[in-house]
Amino acid sequence: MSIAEKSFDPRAACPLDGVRVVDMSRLVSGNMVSLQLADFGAEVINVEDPKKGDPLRAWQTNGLSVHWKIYSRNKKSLALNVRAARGRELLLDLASTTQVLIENFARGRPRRWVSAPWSTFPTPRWGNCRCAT
Amino acid sequence: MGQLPMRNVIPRLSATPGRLRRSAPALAEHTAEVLGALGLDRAAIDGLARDGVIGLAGDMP
Repeated sequence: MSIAEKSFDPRAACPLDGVRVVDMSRLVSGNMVSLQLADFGAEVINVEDPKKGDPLRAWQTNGLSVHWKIYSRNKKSLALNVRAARGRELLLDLASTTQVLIENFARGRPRRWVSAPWSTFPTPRWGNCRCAT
Repeated sequence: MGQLPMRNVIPRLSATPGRLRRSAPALAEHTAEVLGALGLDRAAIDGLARDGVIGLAGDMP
């Protein structure tokens, strides 16, 4: 089977250009969702713990974070401590400018921090993607 | 780290294709950019970093 070659054009339009996504998820399931959105043009902002980052970074082969390199291409990294009250305020400010929220928290505080305010934001909401844990 | 083969964008949509724009970010690579777009100035961002609320790219391990 032959595949037609196509030159890389960084200015080419993508179907999700202009869509903003805040990704609170960790490890694989949420990152696979946001990878699809990022590959098609969405601005995906990965919210990571400032000290350790997404634990997916620690999945290494020969000392290289190859899973991270593959699943987080096309995304941005925001190091934000959501355990601090000010960090949660900033998270909600950020989330109010996005159309999609992705999280895969287990039940408990982190889920309540983001899920309740999310439904009250004035901007159009595309969806809250909850990856079951 | 050199070159890392990875899969192309899937699915391959002919009329509305996706694309690769940037490699995976370093931790905190876009902290200042994202917070700046929220209206925070440099002094406020530096203060948040000092207080441990955020991480900035230059300070990461």
